[in-house]
Amino acid sequence: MASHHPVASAEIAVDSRKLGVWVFLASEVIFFASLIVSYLVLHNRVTSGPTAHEALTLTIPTINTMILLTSSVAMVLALAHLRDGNRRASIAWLLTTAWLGICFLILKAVEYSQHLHEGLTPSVNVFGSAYYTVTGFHAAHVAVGVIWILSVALGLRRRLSPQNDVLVETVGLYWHFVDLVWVAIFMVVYLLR
Amino acid sequence: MEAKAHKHPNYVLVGIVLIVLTILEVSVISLPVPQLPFLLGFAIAKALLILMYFMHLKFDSRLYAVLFAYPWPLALLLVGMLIWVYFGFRA
Repeated sequence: MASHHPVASAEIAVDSRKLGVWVFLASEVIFFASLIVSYLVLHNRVTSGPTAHEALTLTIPTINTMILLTSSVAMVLALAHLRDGNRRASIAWLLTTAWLGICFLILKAVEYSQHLHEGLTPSVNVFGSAYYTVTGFHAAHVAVGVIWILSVALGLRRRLSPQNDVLVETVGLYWHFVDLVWVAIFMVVYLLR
Repeated sequence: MEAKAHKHPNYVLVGIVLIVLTILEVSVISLPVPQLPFLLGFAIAKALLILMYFMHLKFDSRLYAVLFAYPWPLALLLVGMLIWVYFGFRA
């Protein structure tokens, strides 16, 4: 317990590692708010090349939304099983989460290849730049999340105990935040196009 | 230890509700209704479910919620300023 320092509280202790992740996520709110607002301002200032309405379809983003929401359920079940002392089930749910994250990235790559084939490149117009910036940074966050989840699953298999559930909880917070950002991107970029 | 006293919520049910809300979101764009209020409502409902149940803000210390809420006024100010600048230049 020397590695984390609970801040005093009458009812619920505050773990310094979780506190750190929440501060990081708070900074990420500003980062993604800036990107999404920039997209909102820029996406309909197209003078040439494909517009959002012409280039974007709903099929792959809707499937990706379902995938990320399902992965969040898998992530939270991993934590619940670890707290119940079932480490093997926890690892299985963590691997399921990572696999769903990889599926999201594969579908994102398919979507990007379709866009590039249809002439929507990052430099074709201001919509292209804004679109690839917002969705690209989100996809990068998903990729980081997958790597983090796999490393936690590996650690859990080797040495972690249910008493160290905060490590799963912190990666879970990050993963759910990535899901939360996608909820906003799905609405702003794809549904309000 | 923190946040362990509560019984686990029904996470699968929360997930099903989130997927139903997504289906409603996608459906509403083909209906002859004002889209923005519905889409905003569904997105906010989904975000709150994720924050409350998956990120455990409903059960954890309020300090985390305060920390997470802290940048939102700044983010909204940013939104307002950018929209103001954008429409200012267009006017």
